[in-house]
Amino acid sequence: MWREFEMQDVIFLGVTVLFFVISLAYLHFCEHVR
Amino acid sequence: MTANGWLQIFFLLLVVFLVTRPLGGFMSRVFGRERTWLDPAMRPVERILYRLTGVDESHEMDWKEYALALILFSGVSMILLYVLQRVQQWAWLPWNPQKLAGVAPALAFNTAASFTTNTNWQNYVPETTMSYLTQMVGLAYHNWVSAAAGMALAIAFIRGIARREQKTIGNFWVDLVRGTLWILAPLCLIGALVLVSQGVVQNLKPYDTVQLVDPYQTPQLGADGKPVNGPDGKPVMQTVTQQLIAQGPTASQEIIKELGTNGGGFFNANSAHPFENPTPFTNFLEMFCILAIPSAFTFTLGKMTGSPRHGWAVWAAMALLFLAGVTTAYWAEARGNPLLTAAAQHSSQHSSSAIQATGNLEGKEVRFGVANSALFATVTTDTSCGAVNSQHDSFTPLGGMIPLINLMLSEVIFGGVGAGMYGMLVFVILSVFIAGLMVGRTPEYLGKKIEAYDVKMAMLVILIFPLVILVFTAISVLYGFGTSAMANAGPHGFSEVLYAFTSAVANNGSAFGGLSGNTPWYNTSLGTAMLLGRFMMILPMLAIAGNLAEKKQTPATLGTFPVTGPLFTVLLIGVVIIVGALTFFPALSLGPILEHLLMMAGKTF
Repeated sequence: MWREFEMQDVIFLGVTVLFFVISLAYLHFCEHVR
Repeated sequence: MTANGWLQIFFLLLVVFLVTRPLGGFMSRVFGRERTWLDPAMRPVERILYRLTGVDESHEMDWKEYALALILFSGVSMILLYVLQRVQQWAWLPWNPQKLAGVAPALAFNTAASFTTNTNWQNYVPETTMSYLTQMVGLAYHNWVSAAAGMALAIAFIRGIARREQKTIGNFWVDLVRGTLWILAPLCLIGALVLVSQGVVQNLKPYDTVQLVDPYQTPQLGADGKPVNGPDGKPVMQTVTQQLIAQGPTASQEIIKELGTNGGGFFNANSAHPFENPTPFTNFLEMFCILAIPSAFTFTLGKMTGSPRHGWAVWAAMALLFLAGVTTAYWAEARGNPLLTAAAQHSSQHSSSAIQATGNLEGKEVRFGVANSALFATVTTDTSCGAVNSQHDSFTPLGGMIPLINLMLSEVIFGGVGAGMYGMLVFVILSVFIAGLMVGRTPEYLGKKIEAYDVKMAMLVILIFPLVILVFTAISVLYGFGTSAMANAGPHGFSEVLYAFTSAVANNGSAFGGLSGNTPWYNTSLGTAMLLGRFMMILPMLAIAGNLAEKKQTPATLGTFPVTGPLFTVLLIGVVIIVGALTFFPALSLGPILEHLLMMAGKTF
């Protein structure tokens, strides 16, 4: 079943995780400019 | 325009006005943890949920912890939705009677981003792409929690204004649960049953196959989707005698689609589909449900901040902007396309449809007509809903420009569930700041001094919005991977792309139409735009809330700008329009305005 997952899945899941990590950095930025 | 049309428009606004106080008051009691009549039913469920998830309901969060909870919750939910779409074809998973295949990776990413951000942009045909399991467990779940998250954020912002010298703005998990259990669940239960009574389907059956009363002929399509030609070079025709009628658990998703201002249809035709929106009453109910909670938030704002008149001043600004939009859209659509009218008058065709006696009916459901189509389009784009009962792409250039402008104003005209309120509060802060500049005093908002940090964060919210829209639109219209998906040339094609990205960043999800969005570029770019539009705007907004909560209360003086009267309402409207107009006027000039001028010169696209 899991063989149906492909490289594109890794890319899109990676992009999703990366986005939310960047959001955390952005959160820090919003606090930092205070 | 007809008296009947106007009556329906004003009746909708009247009913929304009447529900604002009771629902807004109830919401302030729910989020203020005061006793309500639903406590005996909901409180035990709430306690069980906290016990299962380990949430301490007495714990208060500062804005950073609140934002962190939102980010983690959204991130995990989005990944789960992505995986569910990819595995929906697994044999041991239930509720896939049509044996639909797994969703392609790029489309799954777009859809996961879309539903996580309350956008509900759909680059797919739901009835041929998503299993019932994905619709119910994946998409409907997000309809609920993304709406509840929006409400939580608006309440956190209001607490920031209301609290004095405190570091905390509430508990994200508690706000999420209470919004879901006390507000969305009972309203959805009642609303879904009403929809079922009107003919909206609710079942888990395989699709029905029916014999056509009047079989018709259509070109036979090959495996590549193109018509097959015979030896004589002509298309091979086939006779269609049967039709597949899609079924499914529609009513339960339909009601949260409207109440949660989500907008993602169970069927591809959305609220133009007779199984989603079967009667004039359901059409009215759906528009009412879209506006009810966002409108009620204005009363919640007034009540929680101890200034009910301020809440009504904000409501008045929203209502006036709403009326301005619907008036323009109704006028433009009732007027129709002057080129068609002129052509009909110069030919032998003088039928009422040829001279458009009932206005521009292209792309509209005849059973709803021009007034209810223009009204629905205005309602759905004033809020972040995105449900549609007509094709915005088929509106006249000026009629279609109104939904686009509504989106460009950041959807603060009632707005999304919660999202409209916190979006409008950012404009309120800017209005107060501008008023302070005009009279040369430190601006104050309900006793809180508005300082440099608040304005910096407000400007971040205001600037990120057009930045993402305009950059992605510019890239899309410059390169083949963007232009190849456009159905029309010239300014109309430009409007299709501009509308798509505006809808995505504003987390609306309505499609102008005409753009084939299911391509690698649009799936990825629109998905990214939705995420940026949601989270890059929420975080500075929460920072403002946290900063306001820490401030002392300053007593009002003669020099304090009042935020409770008509002057404030007019200033707020001015700021909303000027910021939107200044930012997007060049883009509008290249799209609907140019298209209108060319239409008047006799050229259409």
